[in-house]
Amino acid sequence: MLTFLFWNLNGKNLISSIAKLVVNHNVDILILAECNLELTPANLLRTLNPEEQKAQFHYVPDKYNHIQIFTSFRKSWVMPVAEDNKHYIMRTITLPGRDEVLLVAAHLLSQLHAKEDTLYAEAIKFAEKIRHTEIALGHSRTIVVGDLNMNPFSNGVVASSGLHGVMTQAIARKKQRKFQEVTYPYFYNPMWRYFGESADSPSGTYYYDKSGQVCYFWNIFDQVLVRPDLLNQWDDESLQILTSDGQQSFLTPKGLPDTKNFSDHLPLLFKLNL
Amino acid sequence: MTKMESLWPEEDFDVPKITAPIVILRQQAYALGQKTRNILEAEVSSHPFYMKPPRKLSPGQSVLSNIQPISMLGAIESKEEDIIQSIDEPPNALQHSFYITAPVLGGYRYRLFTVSHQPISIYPLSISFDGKTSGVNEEEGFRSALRDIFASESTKKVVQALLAQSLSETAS
Repeated sequence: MLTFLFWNLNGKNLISSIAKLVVNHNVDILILAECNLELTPANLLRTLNPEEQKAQFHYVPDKYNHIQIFTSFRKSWVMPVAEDNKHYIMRTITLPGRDEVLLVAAHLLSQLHAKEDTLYAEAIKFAEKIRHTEIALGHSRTIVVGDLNMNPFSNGVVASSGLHGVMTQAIARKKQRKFQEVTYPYFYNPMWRYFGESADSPSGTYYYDKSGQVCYFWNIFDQVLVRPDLLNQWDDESLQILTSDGQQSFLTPKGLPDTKNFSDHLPLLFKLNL
Repeated sequence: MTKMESLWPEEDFDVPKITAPIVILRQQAYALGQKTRNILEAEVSSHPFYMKPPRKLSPGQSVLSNIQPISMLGAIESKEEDIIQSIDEPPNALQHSFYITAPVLGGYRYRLFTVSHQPISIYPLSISFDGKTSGVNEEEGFRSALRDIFASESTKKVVQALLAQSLSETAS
């Protein structure tokens, strides 16, 4: 079982919370976006690998160090497959005796810097790159995780030429859909379930109440999407939007992200049965 | 049905208690990661190649550059051109390259030294480090040579430089 944690840190030095989360949840793959200048890969390695203990975590080299990936297993099991991009990196993960998995970690263009149609166009390019990489690898055991800066219902995430993320496994297991003579593979997007009121979970991963006429307040920009070929390994019940590091809450008393002390994004935790 | 006859000797094979050079090198690669908390790591890459038969040297004739002499008795000497793979000759030896890697610096790799040996008769093996090649005749001599390489000024310089740059590397 591999445990993944993704967190957009919004430039905050949350090294202590990261360390707690990694220990509390036995995280194997830590993926971070928007790390600040103090949160260098080397500083994180020193935190994840405390003195007097076995140094377990490795940094996965990346051309830009924009998205930082750390693994608790040897780095030779994680290999680059495509040229690194400022907004996403792709790595294969091959554990001994297991099928190779394609991990795509993303931090796509911000809504602050691009309009919806630009995000859509970029999402199409991103999805195309994933499909091309899958063809080159000869399989589509792919998982995408990150801050997509779009909601699960945004065109870039839903469109067939985009990520083609659907809200149920039943649909995703049909594997693909043909539109205008072109066949597009599905992703299962489990994040849909987090919209609205829920007793044990916040209503999204990111809160924003300053948009115009149309305002969702809660957004789910931080997402994980799973290809049908990986669904048998996907642990649906493990998916959580985390609201505390075990000691401190990431939320204010009103239940909104505590942006003063923590990130404006909440972290995602999930497991793959590999 | 006729019972198949085994022509192998009845006694068990007496497996010699040695640690293969590749294992020793991998242990040392792991040890560097532990020492630097994986800010620097090391890896060993192996490939077969053709090596001209080593020439015997008289005792004391060969030393690794700027490190203390290793086991001198029966040391061998070979030149760089001896260990370059020949396209005309089939591989008859293994070469292990020991790299120091800096994951934080985009995975930069620095080849610190290489070890070459015949696949069956492991010793004597040759070590190329800092532009010079020398040999060792047994496992303890190999460990001693590695100790010398890791303690040498030129290794320290490489490790210090890569550590300093890794620690100053920030997220973009």
